Parts: sequence; C-alpha cells; structure tokens
Amino acid sequence: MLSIKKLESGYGSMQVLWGVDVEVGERRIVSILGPNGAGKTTLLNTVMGFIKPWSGRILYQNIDITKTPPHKKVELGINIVPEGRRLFPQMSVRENLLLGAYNKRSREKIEDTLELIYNLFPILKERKDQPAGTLSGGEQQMLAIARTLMTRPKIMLLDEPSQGIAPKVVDSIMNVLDRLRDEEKITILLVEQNIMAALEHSDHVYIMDQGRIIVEGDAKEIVSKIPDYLRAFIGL
Amino acid sequence: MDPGLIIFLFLQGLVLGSIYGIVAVGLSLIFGIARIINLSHGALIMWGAYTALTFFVGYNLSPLGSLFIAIVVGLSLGASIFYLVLRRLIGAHELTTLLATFALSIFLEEIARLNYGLDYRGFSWSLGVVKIFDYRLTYSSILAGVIALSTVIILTLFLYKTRIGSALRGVAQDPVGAYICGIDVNKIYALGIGIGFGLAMMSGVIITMYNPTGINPYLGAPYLLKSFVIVVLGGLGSIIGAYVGGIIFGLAEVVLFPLYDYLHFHSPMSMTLFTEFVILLILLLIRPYGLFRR
Amino acid sequence: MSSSQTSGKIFTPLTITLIIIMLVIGFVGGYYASAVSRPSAPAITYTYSVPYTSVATQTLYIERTIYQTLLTSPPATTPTTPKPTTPPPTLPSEIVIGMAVPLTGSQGEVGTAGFNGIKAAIKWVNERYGGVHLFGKTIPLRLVYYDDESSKDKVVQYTERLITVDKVHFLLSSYSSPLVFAQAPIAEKYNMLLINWGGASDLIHLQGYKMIVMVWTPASLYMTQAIDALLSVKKDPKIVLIYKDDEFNRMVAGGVRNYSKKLGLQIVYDKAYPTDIKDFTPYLTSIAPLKADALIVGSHFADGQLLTRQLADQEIDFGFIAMNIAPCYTDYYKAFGNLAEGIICPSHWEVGASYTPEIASKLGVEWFGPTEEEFVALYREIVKDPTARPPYHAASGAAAVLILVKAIEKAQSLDPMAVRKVLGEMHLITFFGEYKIDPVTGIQIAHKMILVQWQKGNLVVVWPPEVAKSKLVFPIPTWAEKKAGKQATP
Ligand SMILES: Nc1ncnc2c1ncn2[C@@H]1O[C@H](COP(=O)(O)OP(=O)(O)OP(=O)(O)O)[C@@H](O)[C@H]1O
Ligand SMILES: [Mg+2]
Repeated sequence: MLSIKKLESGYGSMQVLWGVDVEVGERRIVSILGPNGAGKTTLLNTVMGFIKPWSGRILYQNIDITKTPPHKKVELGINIVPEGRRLFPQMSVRENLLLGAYNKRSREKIEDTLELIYNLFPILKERKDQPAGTLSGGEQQMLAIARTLMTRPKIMLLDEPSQGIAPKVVDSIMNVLDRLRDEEKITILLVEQNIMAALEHSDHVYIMDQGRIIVEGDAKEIVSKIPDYLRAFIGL
Repeated sequence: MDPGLIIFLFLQGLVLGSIYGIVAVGLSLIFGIARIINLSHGALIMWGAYTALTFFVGYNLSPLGSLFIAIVVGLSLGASIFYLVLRRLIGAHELTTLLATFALSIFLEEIARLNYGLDYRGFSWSLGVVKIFDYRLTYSSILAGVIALSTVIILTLFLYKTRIGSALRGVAQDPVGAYICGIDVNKIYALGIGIGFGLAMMSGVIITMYNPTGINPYLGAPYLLKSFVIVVLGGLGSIIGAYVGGIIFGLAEVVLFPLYDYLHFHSPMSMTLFTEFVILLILLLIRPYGLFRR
Repeated sequence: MSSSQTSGKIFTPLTITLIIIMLVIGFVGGYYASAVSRPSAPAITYTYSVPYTSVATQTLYIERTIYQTLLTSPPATTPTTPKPTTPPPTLPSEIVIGMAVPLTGSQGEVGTAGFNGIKAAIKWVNERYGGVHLFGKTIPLRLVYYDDESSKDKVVQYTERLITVDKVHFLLSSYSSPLVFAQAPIAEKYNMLLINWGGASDLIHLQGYKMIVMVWTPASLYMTQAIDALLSVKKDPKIVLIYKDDEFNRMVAGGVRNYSKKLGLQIVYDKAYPTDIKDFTPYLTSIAPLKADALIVGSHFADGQLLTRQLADQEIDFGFIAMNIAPCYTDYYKAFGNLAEGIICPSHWEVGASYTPEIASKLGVEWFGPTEEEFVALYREIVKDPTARPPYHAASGAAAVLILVKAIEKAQSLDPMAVRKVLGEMHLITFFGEYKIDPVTGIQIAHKMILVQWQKGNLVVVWPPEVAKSKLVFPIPTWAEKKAGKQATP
C-alpha cells in the first residue's frame, strides 16, 4: 500500500533521515518505535510532504508520490494525525470536522463520515459546539483523529496519539484504531512511545534510531530482536 | 453646547470611524492569515486613490465604479505578489517579510511618482450635502461610511458562511491543520493576500469619497500608521476588531477635538492624535492582545 | 516543525538577493525622504553663534523687523560711499560664483527653474551690462555649479568643495529651506558670503551666522501683505488663522499674529493643524459659528486642497481667503474649477508684476538690472523655449546675482566681508522687487510678497498696488454662488 524507499531528509543542512525503508501492507497496523529524536516525526512529515525529501522515493498504491504536495496526498487518500494535533483552536468541534470534508471526494460522504465519527467518539457529539481550543487533551486527540477521518483516508499516519493522555483514553483510542482497520479497511502507520500499547495492537513493527531503521519484525517476535542498548530508551 | 452639534459630531464620528475601519481591515486580514505585516498597505491605499482619480478624470467614472476596479486590481496584484515573492517567505523570519513588503511599498510609490509626478492632485465629485441642524455632511462621505460598513459585513459573512471562507480561517489558525483538511494552502494564502490588497486599494477609493484631494505618491504613510494603531487596538488579525477599532478612533476624534479646542490647546488635532495613542497604551495594559483577539 | 513545505532556512540565496534589492531600494527611498524632511540643527557649534532656542526669541525678532520695516518706513537712501581701497596686486580675469543646486530629486524642478534664472542674470551682467565694474575695469562672471540632487549630504559636500577646491569668490545658495539650512554653516565656517535666494525659513538666519544674506521674503512676512490688502477693503476685520504645524508655517503664523497685534486687529481663532491632516471638519465645526471676515491659512499643497474642498462642502463663507502655496498652482484650478474663484495666494513674484525703473524712481530707491522684458527674453533663450514663463524661483535666483554684483561694485572689493558690509546697508530695486536686509541677521525685510487672486479662471496680481493688474475682489462670492457658477469679477 505504502512503500518508503531509501528516504533521506532533514532540516536546513542537518540531515535527520539516512535512507529509511518502510513497507506498509494494506489493512495492517504498522508501528514505528524509537527513542526521542530518532526521526519518527520527521519521517511521517516527509512522507506527507510537509518536509521536502532530499532523496529516495515514496510509493502509494504503486504511484510515485515523492513530490506530491500534501493537499494532493489528502485527496489521494493518504493523511496524517500530526504531532501536536494541529486543530483550529477557535473553531467549534463541528467546524473542525466540516473543514475536514473540504475535498469533493470527502464532501460527498459527509453525513456517513460524521455518523461514523460520532459512533467512534460519542463525546465529540456532546462537545460539537465547543471551541476546539477548550477541549481536554484526550478529546483534542480524538478530534484530531476524527478530522483526519473526515477526509476519508485509505491510509492514516498517526504521530504519537497517546502523547499526554490518560491510560484509559489511550486504550480506547487504540481500540478505535483496530476498528478502523477491521471495519473501515483503513491502513495505519503508527508512531508511538507507548511500547506496550503499540505492540499489542500492531501487526508489524519497525525500530528506529538516529534516523535509521535498526530492526523490523512481527509484533510478537520483535521484542527479542531489539538490541540491548535501545531497550532502556524505549522503555523495555 | 447645542444638541444639534452633538448629533452632528456623533454622525460625523461614525462616518469617519467607519472609513478608518475599512482602511485598517486589509492590514489585519493579511496579518491574520499569513502572519505578514504588510508595509505596502499605505502604498496600495495610495494606488486606490489614484485609481479613483484616473478613472474619474480620464473616463468620467464615478468612484463607485472605481471601487470594483480597485478590488480586482488589488486582488490580482496581491495573488501575483504572493506567488512571486511572499510564498517563499511564509514561515520565514518576520524581518524578511517586513523587508519584502517595505520594498514593495517603495516600488509602488516610485512607480506612482514616475507615472503621476509629485503634484498633489484632486478632483471634484460632489453629490451634495445633508444638513444636520446647522452643520453639513457630504452625501459622498456618508456613502463612503456605508460602503465601508457593508464591505465589512460582506467580508465577515464570506469568512464565516462559505467553504472558502472557512478555509481562510483554517489557514489563519493552523496552516498544517489546513493541509490535513486537503486545503491547497498556497492558493488560500494567495487569495487572502489578494483580498487584503484589494481591500487596501478599495479603501483608497473610499478615502477619495471622503476627501478627493491631496492625492500624491506618498499619501499612504499616515494611513499605514493609523491602520497599524487601529489594528493593534482591535487585536492583530481580527476583522471585526479592526473595524470596531476604527469606529472607536473616529468617535474619539470628534469628542476630543472640541474638548481640546475649547481648552485652548495650540494644536487640538495633534493632541487628539496623541490621546488616541494614550488610549491604545492603556487598552493594551488591560488587554495585551487588543480588543478582539483571544 | 516548519509550517510549510519550505525548509526552515532563512538565508537562502533568494532571500539574500531580496534583502540586497530591498536595501538598494531602501536607500533610494531614504534619499527622497531625507530631501523632503525638515532641517535639523547643525551639528557644529560656533563660538560666536547666538543659538536660536526659544519661541520667545523668534517672536521678538519678528516684532523687531516688522516694527522697523513695515510700520516705520526705512530711510529713503542709505549713503554708501565706495571705500578707498587700494586695488589688489592682480585682478582676477573673472569673478567665480559657486552654487550647489538641486537639478534633480524632489526639488529638481523648482531648483532648475532657479538655476535658469541665475544663468539668465549672469548672461545679462556679462553681455548686456558688460561685466562687473571693478577698479575701472569690467570683469565677467563665471558660474561653477554642482547638482546636489536635493540631498542634504550632497549640498554640504559640494558647498565645501566649491570653497576649498574650486576657490569661488562668492556662493549662491541651494534651493529649499532644508538644503540652505544644511549648507549655511559650511559657508559661515569659511567666512564665505552666501546669497540665499531659495530658503525662506527665518531660522536659517537666526543661527547667528553673519555671512548669509537673504534675497526673497522670509516666512514670517509671507502673509503680512495679505493683512494690508485686507485692511484696504475692510475696516477692523475678524480674522481666522489656521496653519500647518510645521516650522515654515509656524513662522508664517507668527508673522500674522504679531503684525495683527501691532495693528490692533482681532484674530478670533488661531490654531495649528498636524502636518498629515486628513480631515478639517473638526476645525470647520469650530470656525463656522464665528462668522469671521477673513481666513488666513498657512498651508502647503495637500492640506490647502483639502481645506478648500471641505470649506466648499460645508459652505463656510469668508469675504477674504488667503492661502499659502496650494492656490498658486494651476492644479488648484484644475481640481476645484469655479470653486477656486476669489482665493488669494501670496507669491514672491509673477510675470507681469515686476518692479520697473519708474517705480524705483518714484520710491527714490536705486535701480539695477534688466527689466522684466529683458529678463524674460534671456530666460527664454536659456531654456530654449520662446514661450517659457519663468516662475518666481527663477526671478529670485536672478535677483541674487544682481544684488551680489551691485554690492561688489559698491564695495570695490572681492573680499566677502567688505561685500557683506555693503549688503547690510544697500537698498536696491530690481525687477524682482525691493532689496534690503536686517544688517545683523541678513533677513530680507523690504521685498514685498505680491498677492495673486483667482479671477475668472486666471491668477491675477491684485497686490501691492504699485504692481497690481486688477482690483482685489472683496467680498468674494459665497461657496453657494460659486457652485452656481458665479466668478470673482472685479
Ligand atoms: N523543525 C526542526 N528544525 C530542525 N531540527 C529539527 C526540527 N524538528 C526536529 N528536528 C531535529 O530532528 C531530529 C529528529 O526529530 P524528530 O522530531 O523527527 O524525532 P522524533 O523521533 O519524532 O522524537 P520524539 O519521540 O521526541 O517526537 C532531532 O534531532 C530534532 O532535534
Ligand atoms: Mg516526534
């Protein structure tokens, strides 16, 4: 579904990614784990096009999207729930969601998607007229996921959805990811710090450090493959 | 004091304030959407005034017609300038965009100077006057105030009731969030800056409806300064704030001037302007982000 | 994270190029801006200077000159006997006059007009008059000049260069108060005589300089003729005075105020307005109920136009309206059409309003120089345009040359000090008008402003009576009458 090949990028003259290869199969949850500063966010933002790739290729459903601008990627069905959520703080929950349905493709299904979202996150329905900036951290994360869902993605990149959220809420968000994969057929590329939650819900796992993929493997077997020096960093 | 004068001054203040408001709105809009302080705002106002002059003198077109020409020209100019220059400067250091718009301002002024020379031009477009007790307001200035108000209403409706309007607000609040919604953020920036330029040029035409004289290549600078103060008063980036700020200034002027005049100040209008800055300072102490910014 | 596709780098080649372009443009813009800004006090201090600091000094000064020159008429002739100086061992083959003048920049147009007037006068001296009569010989004048580009820095540089490198005998000033203000201390430093034909600000002469001599009317006397004209048609008028709050117009207003006080006239409203005024309505609201007879305005271009517009809109009528600068230009009539009728503007000189040898002999003052016809013809030769109409800047420049030549002849010396001494005593009439200065400050006190009034679509000289071409219209038609098409007909 999405293959990232020898991707390199960075900021200014500082290189962060050094030839990253990642494969994401259709209808799977793939996780990328790694210590702070490993380059996970940089990877997702490069895939989205917020950061220009220096070299390497990004293929989506066998089309080269390396140079496609972000809003075109959204139209193609690839979208992100970014680090820091990037909501519109002065708009109401509903306005945030409606703006998510900006594209023609998503506008046509707007009622269905809204129903799905209120079904997945009933709290958002209650809060629908409240400005997004006044929601709690967990609610904001739900809204961020919901807004991305409004664009009807086929693959969703999530950058640490559990960040700064109570464990119970993390659970429910993770369960939502399972449901999205199973019921909505959405492929998921997940970046996480919460190792336990990630391992539990992922099909395949990549371990990243210093801008490189160190190991990859099945969620069940990966733990044994992680080099010792990294274990402490990622909380094992 | 005679009650007729009070009513006249109040109306006069509203008209003036409404015009100040529309003059400031374009500056606020561009800052709100692109975080760019448009130092060419004054030069665009100047070009708006010349648009009115040129079409009135050359083609007998009333300033009402020039309004539309100014909007269209400003819109295209703003969008082109965005794609040519400002696009690469979005998110760059403020100083960079400040310098870029300053350069544009000088460029626009010097073109005007080459084209029109340094003479002070003016024209006579008169629709007559309304007598308010013993005092007179020109119809054209009342019209200017009303057009300014309607423009702000239309702009607000556009921003809050249309899809593109929401996209503009979205980009203003978080450009990355806007990308995620599938919005072509560059196009929206171009549109926003275009509207800002269009409003600036249009307000130049509106100014000539209040005062069709003294048109010269450097007429914009005091308006830029005044807009700046008004925009800060209303809250940087807020449309309503800019307009309300303008109204406050307009009313403050008609109240303060007679007061200082009565108190035998040597230059009552300078005192009035000074007091406006004091009002701004006090207000910023109470509300550091201006009246309408959260 | 950078908020767009661009990387976070600020100094890409593009931005650097932009910054360079902007700096270049910024300098150009700054240069124009500096050329129009007001003069600043010179940084150099002089041991003998009488620093001009307070308003009180200025007021005192104005009272003194007005008192001396306008109320008590000056002695008809000042006896000046050529000093018996022994001729210098070698007489120069020519007398070199130096000048830095704005031929380009914001003052370029008027500066050029003055420059052409100066060339016309030099041509007259060399070709018609035969040269400067010195020690029984005639010596021609030669002009050395630089274009100061309306820049205060350049005018200072060139003034210094003219004195130290070109070693000129005498200097003519640049044009516009800020530029003359900037160059005056340089001339003073070298004890070089500077004939000021282009800076009307009194302040130039209130710095304690001894070597600066003014040819045309200073700001403080700009509007006093208007008051005389007003008094000739209306007894005990009620006057409204408003003026732009800049240095020049503060002096204009100060002159009006003091002169009115001397004459016991009533100024019923006396207020300044800010330089960037965009709306006169508040002033007009205060003025309207006063029902005054005369409006005197210390204005410039834009504000003068705006005031006219708003007076007309508000239909606030005066029998007499005199305004600086704006109404003196044809643009004014273009902008206002019939509404301009009757508005009066003070001017230093106009074609058709020249002094003549007859006037000089009637006043009992010595005459020197070409007549108006001669001057206009020479001017047209110089500008190569047989229909050119020299503006007052040209006449003032020409007068500077003529006055200098006469003073050299009277002094029989090329020593700036000696010539300066003669200039302090000399009373002369040229086609440009009278010349006589306050001997201490060098301020012009005899040259009279003429008043021009818009009458039936033309600017007509109506004052002073000796050169007037038409009668002053008073009271002028009301705004309502003018809107209905009535003109100011004498
Ligand atoms: N906008 C930026 N400009 C310059 N350097 C950056 C920027 N953002 C991140 N970096 C640097 O790039 C490297 C990778 O950062 P990145 O945010 O991708 O790490 P991460 O794996 O997402 O870390 P975390 O788990 O803390 O979110 C870090 O060294 C960081 O300092
Ligand atoms: Mg991260």
